[in-house]
Amino acid sequence: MNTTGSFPFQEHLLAELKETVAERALSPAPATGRNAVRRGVKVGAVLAAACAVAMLPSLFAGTTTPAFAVERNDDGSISVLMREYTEPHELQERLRDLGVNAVVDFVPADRHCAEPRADFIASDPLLWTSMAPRDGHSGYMRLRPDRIAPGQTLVMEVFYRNDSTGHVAGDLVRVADGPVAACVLQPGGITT
Amino acid sequence: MTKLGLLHIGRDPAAFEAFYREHFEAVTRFMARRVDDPHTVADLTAETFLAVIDSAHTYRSDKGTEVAWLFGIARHVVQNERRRAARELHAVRRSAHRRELDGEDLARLEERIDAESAARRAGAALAMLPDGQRALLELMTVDSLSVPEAATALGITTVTARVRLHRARRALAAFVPAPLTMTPATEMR
Repeated sequence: MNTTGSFPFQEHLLAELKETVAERALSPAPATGRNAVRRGVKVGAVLAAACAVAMLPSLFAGTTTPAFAVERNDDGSISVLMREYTEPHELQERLRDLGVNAVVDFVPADRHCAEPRADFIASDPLLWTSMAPRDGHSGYMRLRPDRIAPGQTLVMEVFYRNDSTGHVAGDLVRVADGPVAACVLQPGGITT
Repeated sequence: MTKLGLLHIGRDPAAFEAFYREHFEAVTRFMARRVDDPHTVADLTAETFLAVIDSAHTYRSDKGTEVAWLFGIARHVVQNERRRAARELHAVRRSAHRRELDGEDLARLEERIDAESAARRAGAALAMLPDGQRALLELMTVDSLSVPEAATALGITTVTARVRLHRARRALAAFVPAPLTMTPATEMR
């Protein structure tokens, strides 16, 4: 094992971060907020802690319902805020209205969709960014539709706690090549 | 890294790459001194560099060294992670969401985690101290920062740091046992 020099994670992370820096360089004004830098970089839930939910509703001027809000951003990305995990088909339709061939399922955290439900391709680290606002309940994500090729489908499985809190417990976002089977719930959570 | 370069790393990919390559190992080791899971080390390293991109323009060389400033950011990232873990709000979220690390990544990060095990134990031993004193001693003993550097990382003056250090040493002295009578290694069982 080579123990000196760079290793894959180091180079992958560098590539992601350099793209983020390049995006910042293209923005007209220096971005100073923490959220601005997070665009287009998938760093998992760790990045979530700094995102205040109070800021989020004001970001959405597009389609909003009590359950969710969807909006296309100036850079072509799409922001999705989920407040309640009750209207997956409506959210799916809104995403399709915006040109994203999406399949959306809200899954109780103690269940999962039967696999394989599609032929999933290697995930693109820049496809989406997820944040968990501080309320622990809402789910926020930013999608890059230009990372989804024709014939591919964005498959979003959002896991929520099936208890009085209703908190989001995790999400699994993948891209399928070809048809996607309906989610058939199976016992056992994949987020636990 | 020049001062000009650091000012521009948030908007100049080449400047950022130079900074990243210079400090990547230091940041992963900083994390490996605090957590013993390679995925968490990877996540916290990514989060630290994101925060660096975001706040590079705030760095002032007259306020302290680059490393002290960087460790100050890394420390905030770890604190946020600990608060998150304490709340357990998103504990399962991360497990569904982890960065993709291959075999070499895991081996290299685990190697760093193993190498820093003594530092993690040292950090844990400071747990009895009040937060301010513990943070200072941690940066000095676990991360080998000088008093001025640790002060920069914590955003306090050097004088305040020295006062805290004095108090921390006095508090720790109460817990240090009397010197042990050493037993020759060959007789140890």
